[in-house]
Amino acid sequence: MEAPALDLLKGTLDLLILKTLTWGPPMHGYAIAAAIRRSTDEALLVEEGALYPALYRMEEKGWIEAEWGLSENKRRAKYYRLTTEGRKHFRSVEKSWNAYSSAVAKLLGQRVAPVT
Amino acid sequence: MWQNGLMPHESAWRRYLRFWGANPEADVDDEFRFHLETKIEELRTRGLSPEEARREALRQFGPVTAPRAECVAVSRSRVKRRSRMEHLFDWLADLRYAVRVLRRTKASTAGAILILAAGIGVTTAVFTLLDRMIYAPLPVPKPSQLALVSQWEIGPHGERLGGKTFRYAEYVYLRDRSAAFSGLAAETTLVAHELHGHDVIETPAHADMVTANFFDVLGVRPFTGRAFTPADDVRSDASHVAVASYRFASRRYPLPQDAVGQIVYLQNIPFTIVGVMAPGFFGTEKGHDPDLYVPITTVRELVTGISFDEGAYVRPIGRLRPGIDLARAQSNLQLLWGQLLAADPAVTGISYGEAKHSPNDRIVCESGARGYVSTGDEQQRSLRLLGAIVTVLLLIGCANVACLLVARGAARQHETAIRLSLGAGRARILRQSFLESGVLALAGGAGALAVAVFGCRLLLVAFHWQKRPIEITPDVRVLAFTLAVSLLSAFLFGLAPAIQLLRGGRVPLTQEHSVAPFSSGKVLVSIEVALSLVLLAGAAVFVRSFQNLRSVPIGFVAENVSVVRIEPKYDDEKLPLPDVMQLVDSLRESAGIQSTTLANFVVFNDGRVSTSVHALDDPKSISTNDLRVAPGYWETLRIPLIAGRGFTPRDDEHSPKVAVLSETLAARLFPNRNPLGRRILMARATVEHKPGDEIEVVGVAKDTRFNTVSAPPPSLVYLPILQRSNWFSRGASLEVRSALAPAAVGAMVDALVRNAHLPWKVSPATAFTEEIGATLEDDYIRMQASSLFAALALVLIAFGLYGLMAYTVARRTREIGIRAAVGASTGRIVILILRQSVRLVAIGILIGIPGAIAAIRALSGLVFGLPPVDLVSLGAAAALLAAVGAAASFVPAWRAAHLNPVQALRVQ
Repeated sequence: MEAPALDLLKGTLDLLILKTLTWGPPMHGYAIAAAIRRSTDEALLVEEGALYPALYRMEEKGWIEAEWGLSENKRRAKYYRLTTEGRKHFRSVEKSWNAYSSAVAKLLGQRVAPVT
Repeated sequence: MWQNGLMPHESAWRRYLRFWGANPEADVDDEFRFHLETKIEELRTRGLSPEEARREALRQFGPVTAPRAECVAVSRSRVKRRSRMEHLFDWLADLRYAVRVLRRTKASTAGAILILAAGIGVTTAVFTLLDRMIYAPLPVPKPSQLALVSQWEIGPHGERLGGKTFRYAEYVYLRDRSAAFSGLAAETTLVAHELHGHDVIETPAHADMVTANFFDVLGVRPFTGRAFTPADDVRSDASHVAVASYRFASRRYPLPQDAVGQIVYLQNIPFTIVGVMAPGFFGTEKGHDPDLYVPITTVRELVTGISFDEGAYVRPIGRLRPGIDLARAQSNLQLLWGQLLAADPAVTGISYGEAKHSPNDRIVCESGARGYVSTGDEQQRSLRLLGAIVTVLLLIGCANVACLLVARGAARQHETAIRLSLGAGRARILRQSFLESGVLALAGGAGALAVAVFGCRLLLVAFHWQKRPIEITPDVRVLAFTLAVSLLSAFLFGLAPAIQLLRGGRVPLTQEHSVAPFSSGKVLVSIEVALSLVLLAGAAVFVRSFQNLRSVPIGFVAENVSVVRIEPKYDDEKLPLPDVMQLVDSLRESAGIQSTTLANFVVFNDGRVSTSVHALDDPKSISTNDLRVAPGYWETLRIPLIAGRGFTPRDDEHSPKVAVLSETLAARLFPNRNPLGRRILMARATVEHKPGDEIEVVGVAKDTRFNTVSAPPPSLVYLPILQRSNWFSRGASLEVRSALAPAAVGAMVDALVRNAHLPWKVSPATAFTEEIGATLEDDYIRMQASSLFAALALVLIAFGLYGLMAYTVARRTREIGIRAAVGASTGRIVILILRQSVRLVAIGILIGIPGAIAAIRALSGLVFGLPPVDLVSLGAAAALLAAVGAAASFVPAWRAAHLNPVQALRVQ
C-alpha cells in the first residue's frame, strides 16, 4: 500500500510550499502538508517533518511570514502567508523550473540521439 | 521523548514568560504538537484506533529530532538578530530624542556648543603644535627602531654637561664596526646655501649634507628619480648630486618630477638633482625641511672656513637591529669608542693632537622615533604651559556646560518624573542624558576643528614659526585627539545632569515645580571658581614677571635708537671698513640725527662673541663677552663712562691697542686697583704674546645687561672696531640715536648707500626697544596667552554665575515677593541674593587656593623677580574673581529687588 516514492529534488519542497501558499489564505503547516499530498496525488512523498525546517528557512529569508492564530479545531496554530517578495521569488523559480522540466521532458522524449 | 506518548502540555507559566521574549523551543514544540494532534484526529475520523492513528501520524511525519533542532536554530538566530535590531532602533530613537531636546532649547545648546568648540578647539590647536614640534613620530617606517647617537661630557654626578657631535672619520669608524645597527647614517649640523654668482635668487635653497645610506637607514624611498648610492659617499665630481625635498621640488619647478636633472648651485658649485623625496618626508628634525640633501663629503667644498675632517659636525642616526635595544647599542658604541681612542692614529687615520677627547665623554643612544626636536627649551616649555592652561580652561568650560545642562534639566524634572513613572528604566534615562551630552560634545568637537586650524595659525604667529614647514591641517592623530577629548568632556559635563536626573526621579509627580535644591549647580560654580583661580593666579604671576622684566634698568637708554644692519650683497664679499665709517660720518651729519655709532652686533640681538682675557700680570683668565664698537658708542647709547675715555677715531690699526672694560670685568681683572693704564691680553695671544698684542685699558663703562634682561650684567670688553683690519665679513649694525622713526632712519641709510653706489644690503631698520622686546618674546607669549585664557575663564565664570543666580531668583520669586510684601527694602533683597553668590565664590576661592599656590610654585622657574609663592598674584587673582562674581550676580539681584510683589506672589 506504499505509494511509489519519488525523492524530492533539492529546492523542490520550497517550490511546492510556495505554490501551495499562492492559493491565497494563510495556512498552517499541517494544511500545507495535506495540500501538497492532495495536489500531487500523493505521488511525491513528503516526510511532513521536513516541511517545517523549510518553512522556517523561508520565513528567515522573508519569502513567507508567520503568525499565531486559532485553527478550525480551536487550537493555537502558526499560520504562514506568502510575502510580496516570496511571490516574486516564486514566479522566477517557477519559470526556471518550467524551462528546466520541459527541457528534461524533451530530452527524455527523444528517440534518436541529437545530431550535433 | 514525546514520540512515545502524547506531547506534554505546555505549562501556563511558560506561556506567560513568552510575554517578555520569544521562546523558540516552545514555539516549535507547539507547532509540531498541533500538526500531530490534528493528524491523529483526522486519522481517527477515518476509523483508526487511537494507537494506530498515533503510529500512522508519526510515520507520516518522519523523524522529529533533526527538523526540530533545525527549526529551533533558525528561529534562534532570527530572534537574536531582531533583538540586536531593536537595540539599534532604541539607540536611534534615543539619539533622535536627544537631538530634538537639544533643538528645543536652542539658546543653551548653542551656548554649550560654542563653549565646547572654543575649549576643545584651543586644546586641539596646542596639541597639534606640541605633536608636530615634539611628540609625533617621524613619518618613516618603524620609527621606534631609530636611535640618535651623541656624545656627552658627563659630570661627577652623572649629569650631562655638554653634548658633542662627531667627526666624520669617527662616525665611519663606528659605522663600519658596530653590530648593533642594521645601518648607521649621519648628517652634518652645517647647512649649505644656494648661491650662483651675483644672481638674485628668490627664497634660495638650503641643503643638508647626509651620508649615502641616510635614506636607506630611515627607510624612505624617493618619489621619483634615485636616492644616494654608496658611490656618492666617495668624494669625486660625480658626488655633486642632490636629492630634493618634495616641498622644494614643487615650489621651484612646475611639477615635482621636473626637478630631476635640474642643476642647483650651492656656494657656486653646480649640483644635479637626481631624485625627489616622497611628500611628507622632512628629514630628521621637526620644524625643519631641508630643500636639498647632498652627499656629506661635499662639505669640504661647500662650507669653507671650517675643517670638516678635524672638527666635529656630524651627528649619527642609526636603525637598531631587531632585538637590540638602546642600552645594548649604547654599550656597544661605547666599547668601540674606547677602542678608537686607544687605537694608533696611523691605523684609524684620526689624529687628535691637542683636542683629545675628555675621558668623561660618554656615547649616548637615545630613541630617534621622534627625530631631533629643534624647538628651543623655552618654547617647548611655553607650549607645554599652554597645554596645561587650555586643559584647565576646557575643564572650566565643561563645568559651565554642565551648569547649562543642569539648569535646563531642572526645568525638565517634571518630564523625567513622568517618564520614570511610566516605566522608563533609570539606565535608559541615564543613557538618554549621556547621549545628549555626547551629541553636544561631538558638535562642539566638529566646531573645534575649525577653531583649531585658526588657533594653530595664531600660535604660529605668536611663536614666529610662520615660515617653518609645519603642517597644521588635522591628521589622524589630531582627529583622534579631538574625538577623545570631546568624549571625555561629554562624560565630564554629562555627569552632573545625569546625577540630577536620577535624583529628580524621586520628586513626587504631584509637585508642579520641583523644590529639589539646585545643589549640583552650586557645586559646579564653586569648582569653576576654583579652577579659574588657578588660571588667574598663573596669569597674574606672568603679568607681574613681565612688568618686572620691563622695569629692570638695562644700563642704557634704548628709546629713540634705531638699529640698521648692513651686509655685503653677496656671501663671499666683505664690508670695507673705510666705506662703512664714511657712511657713519655722513649719517651723523644728516638732519634729525643726534648721534651714530657702529658695532659688530647689537646687544640683545642673538649675536654674542665669547672670549677670555687676563691681566698682563695675572695669568688667571676670565671669560668675557667681546664687542667691537666704533667711537661714540657710549654717547649714542648713553652708557655712562665711570673712568677714563671712550674710543676716538685715532684708535685705529696704526695706534696702540686699547680697550674699555665693563665695571664688572674691571673689578674681576683688577680687584681694588685702578684699571686705567693697565694692560690685558686676549686669550688667543696668551701662549706667546708679542708686545703688539698687549691692550691698554683706557676706560671703564657702567655695566649694561647684555643678551637678556633677566640675567645680571656679564663681563664685557669693548674693543675698537677700527683696530681690526681683517674685519667682519658678515656685516655690521648701525645704532642711530634720533627722534625720527626707525623706518625714516632706515630710508636715510638706504639712500646714502645707494648714492655711494655701495654693493650692500640694508636690512629694514628696527627700534632698539624692539630688539630688547624680542628677547622677552617667550615671557611675552606666556603673559599674553595666560592673560587671554584667564580672561576667557572670567567670561565663563561670569556667564555661569549669572545663569545660576538668574535661575535662583526665578525659583525664589514667590519668596522674594513675600519678603517685599512684608516690607523688605530693595537693598536687603539685593544683599540677600548677592550673599548667596558671594558665598559660592568664596567657597570656590578657598577650594582653589591650594591649587593656585601649587601652580604659582610650579611656575616660579619661568618668572623673574618674584618670590617662589607670590601672594600678591594670588590676592589679585582672588580679588578679581570676587569682583567679577559680584558683578555677574548683581544683575539678577537687582532684578529680584525690583519685582512687583503682587505679580511675584501670583507665581506658583
